[in-house]
Amino acid sequence: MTFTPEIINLIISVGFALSVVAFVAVFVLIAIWLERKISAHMQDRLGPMETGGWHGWLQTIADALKLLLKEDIIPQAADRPLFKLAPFIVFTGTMASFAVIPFGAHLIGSDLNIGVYYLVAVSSLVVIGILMAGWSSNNKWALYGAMRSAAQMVSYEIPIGLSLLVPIMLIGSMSMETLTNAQAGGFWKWTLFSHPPFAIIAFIIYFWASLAETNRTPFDIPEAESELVAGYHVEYSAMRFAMFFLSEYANMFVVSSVATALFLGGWYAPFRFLDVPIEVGVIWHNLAGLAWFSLKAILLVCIQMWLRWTLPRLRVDQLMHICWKIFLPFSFANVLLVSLWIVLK
Amino acid sequence: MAFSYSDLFVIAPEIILTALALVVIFVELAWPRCEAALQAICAVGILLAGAAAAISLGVQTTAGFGSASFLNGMVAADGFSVFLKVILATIALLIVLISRSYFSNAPNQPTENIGEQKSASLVSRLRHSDYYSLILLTTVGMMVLASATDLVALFIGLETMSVGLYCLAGIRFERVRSSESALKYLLLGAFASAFLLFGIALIYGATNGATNFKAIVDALQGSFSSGISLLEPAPAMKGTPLLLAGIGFLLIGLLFKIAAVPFHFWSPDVYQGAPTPVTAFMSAGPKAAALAVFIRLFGWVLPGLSTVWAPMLWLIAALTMTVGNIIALAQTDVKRMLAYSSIAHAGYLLLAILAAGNPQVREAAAAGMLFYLTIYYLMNIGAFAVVYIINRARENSDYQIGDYYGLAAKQPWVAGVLALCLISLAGIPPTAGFFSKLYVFSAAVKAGYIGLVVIAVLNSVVSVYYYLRLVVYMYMRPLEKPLAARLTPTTAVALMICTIGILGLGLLPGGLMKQAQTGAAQIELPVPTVE
Amino acid sequence: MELILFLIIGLTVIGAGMMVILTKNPVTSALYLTLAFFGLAALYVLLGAPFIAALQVMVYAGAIMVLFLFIVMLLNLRDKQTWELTTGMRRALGLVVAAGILLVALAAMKGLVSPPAPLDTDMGSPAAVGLALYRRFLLPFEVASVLLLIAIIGVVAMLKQKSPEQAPEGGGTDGRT
Repeated sequence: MTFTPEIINLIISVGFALSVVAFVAVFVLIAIWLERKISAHMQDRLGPMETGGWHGWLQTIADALKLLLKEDIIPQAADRPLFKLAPFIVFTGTMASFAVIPFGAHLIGSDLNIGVYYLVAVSSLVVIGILMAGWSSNNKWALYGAMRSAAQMVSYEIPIGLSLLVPIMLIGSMSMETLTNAQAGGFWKWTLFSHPPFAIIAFIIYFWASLAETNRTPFDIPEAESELVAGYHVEYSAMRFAMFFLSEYANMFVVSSVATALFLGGWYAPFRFLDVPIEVGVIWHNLAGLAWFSLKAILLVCIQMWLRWTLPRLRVDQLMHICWKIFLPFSFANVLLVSLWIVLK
Repeated sequence: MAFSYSDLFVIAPEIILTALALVVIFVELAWPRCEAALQAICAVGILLAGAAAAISLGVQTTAGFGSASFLNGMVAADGFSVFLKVILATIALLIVLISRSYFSNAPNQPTENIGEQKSASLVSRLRHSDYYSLILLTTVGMMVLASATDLVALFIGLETMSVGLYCLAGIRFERVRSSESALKYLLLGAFASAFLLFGIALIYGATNGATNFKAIVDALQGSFSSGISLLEPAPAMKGTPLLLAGIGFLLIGLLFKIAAVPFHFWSPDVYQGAPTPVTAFMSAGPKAAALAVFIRLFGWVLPGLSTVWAPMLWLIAALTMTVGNIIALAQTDVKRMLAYSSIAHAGYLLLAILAAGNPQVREAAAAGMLFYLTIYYLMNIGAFAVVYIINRARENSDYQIGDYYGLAAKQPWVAGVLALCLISLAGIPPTAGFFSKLYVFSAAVKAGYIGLVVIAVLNSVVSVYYYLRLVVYMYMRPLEKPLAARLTPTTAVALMICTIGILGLGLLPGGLMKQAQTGAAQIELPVPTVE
Repeated sequence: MELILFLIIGLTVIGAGMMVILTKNPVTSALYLTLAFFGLAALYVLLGAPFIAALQVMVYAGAIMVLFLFIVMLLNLRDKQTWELTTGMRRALGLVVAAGILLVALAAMKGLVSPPAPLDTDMGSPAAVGLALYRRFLLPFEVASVLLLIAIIGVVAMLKQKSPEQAPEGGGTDGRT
């Protein structure tokens, strides 16, 4: 068998995809453990301490194993094919986003020229999966949760899109790599700081709306344990439940890494001397980029967790009010001002 | 350059109306319950829009760029489209005038109605500005449709108009009839739009990616030079099956909008269920706009294929007038009767389209159509306005012909206006309705459709029966029920405009006809400037 | 390679389209429609227009399908209340009409002598789409905003006066109230 360039490309792509899946799995394991620890410490508790010895670091792995080994229960009245399919669609939607996330200088699945747009588009797959899950469960809590979730995600997609438009307009590209490269050379070059008023407003709106997009507190009304039991995945168990859980945490990482790539300089270090130059070696250069990128993204994930354990949950009407009457006008005004600034510049 | 400030001139009426629609909403937000002010603002704004249309034509003529293309050839700025914009602006003006107090109990309304308090609370939540801004925005859609010279502009104009009409038909959503009317119109209208869009897609494919009318003409003639004079008879075109299928679907979509016969089933129900001022609007506006683009498309873009579409249209025109008139004979509900009568009038108007397929008479046909449309909206809106007044006074949920017995004794002016409108609709001289038919029929005779004109004349004779029946009832039957019709001042003004128009143009049709001829002679197909 | 992909995707789209009208359950049928939209998006990618593909996914699969599903779910058409609109007569009529349209389409295809002009490679790029919208189709683009405005005003106007139980059934004269 000869190795034509296509086959080599194919192998590289598959390898990259597999390593992304591995990365996500590891990240999620850490993130769940982290969330439990953070929440515990914020509430003056200790959190998991037993499994694995040091601060219960094996707890999530034990949980995951338990979930994998449990019986997969499908309610009798459920719409079986849809019920089975839904978690995979949600998972696919989330994982598809990773294709354009620039982990490092050369660590990007595919540098599409419409990268950001692609991200927004595939995230709509998640909505359909959630609706399917809620409907096929044949459970009113699940349906309520799915409806709320879909309404929320569709609504908040608009401020998200509009605030992502700001860095796109300022830099003039939708490719993730170009967007990141334009922010090289110190933190004052990052979009967030280089174009103060617009980018900061856009970043704040993006960050808040992304909490809603990932169904995190204070926007977690679709899941709202205390009123809706667990929302759209109330009937799911075992593997399928694990997939929802996995994609939820993966989604947190996705929205954070988009914020990192577009506003916080992507894989570049805050100071130039902290970057490993490419002359040292391509591998080291990329690994350093990966480290900086993950650091920034995980920091944002931690902020999301911090907010979750600080803020109370919003009501449905408040949620819609914030989206349509606060975020939307502000992001429209912001886009308008940015375009004016670009024209006048 | 894709855009210049002279482009703004061309769409000035549309811009004014859109801005006005927003102003109206904000005015009511600031000062609630001020319908009179809203109406005044709308009226002034519409007059401004009409004036802007006329001025833009004047500017172009004096500046000598009458045949230049604007907005990348999406819309025409010729005399024909300006004439139509003025027609549409006047329609909107009349509708605004007759809609007074539709959604409220203004002090000058009779208040002894039973059950009024019950529904007053519902209606009071509806703001007048919603209604008026919908009228204005729908008019914008009609204007775009009427002046469209590109299939994309045609579609978007048509949809804007249609969506506005769906909303207007259902604006009394709490009433079963109104919401039924809106739903029927929406479902069938969406279906027709799908056909139209499919037709556009096929034509796009058949002409190697042309949507602009001029580009389609060029593509069909196999030459991409724009040197061919439009005034010469169009040479025969290549009628590939793809193109013919596209034209067929396009035809279905347009015929639906003007309620021609195989596609007319929606119209009586929708007309009957919609609020009466809206029905008046629906019967006048969409027809004018759709027929305008219809004649431009078939008379100026596709005349070379007239051997294909003319027989089809011949049959449809004959069916439309005959079916419309014969079913109208059997109606006892005045609103339904007027609905069928408007189907019949669509049939007469199709004669103009047919005649336009003949390049020698197409200008006469277009001029006749412009004249016909002008008169048609005057008489139709006049008639519907009276139906509206009587219905308010009668407090019925339907529009039975019995309500009109002895109207003349009690309400001589209102009855007089209705009688005039009906006589004009029947086409009896010396009303303007006679001349409108005369011009269109004579154009059709010149184009060689003598058989069809005979059918049309026979149909007119049939229609006299049901129009005059109502007149006879009004004047010769005793009053059955007490009647307390009151005219709001604005409605009186609207009725006055209709009366003066019908009588004045009946006695002196020359001036308007001359304008119409000038407009029709100027029909242009602007070329796209950007690829 | 491209041909194989085209065949797979094309058959998927057609199959999904068939299933949309063949399934009895409205939710399933809406989801098949989603599949068809995704297939179309994949076809756009094959044509070298990834931006349009993303648009397709975002607008149709993301927004419109969610609204579809919402409405279907709110109507809550459960097992029994599946679509029972198709009687034998209507089915026959539908078949006749569909066959007619198919014939027309086939005839139209046959008439397509010359293959369509080759596409511009830049056709589907964001810049090309933007230029087309803001230059070539500026007016329709702006009028589309009027269309949306109408829809917003119309919906607000209609739904502000709900509660049909209280309204006199079929009664109420035009303009009386």
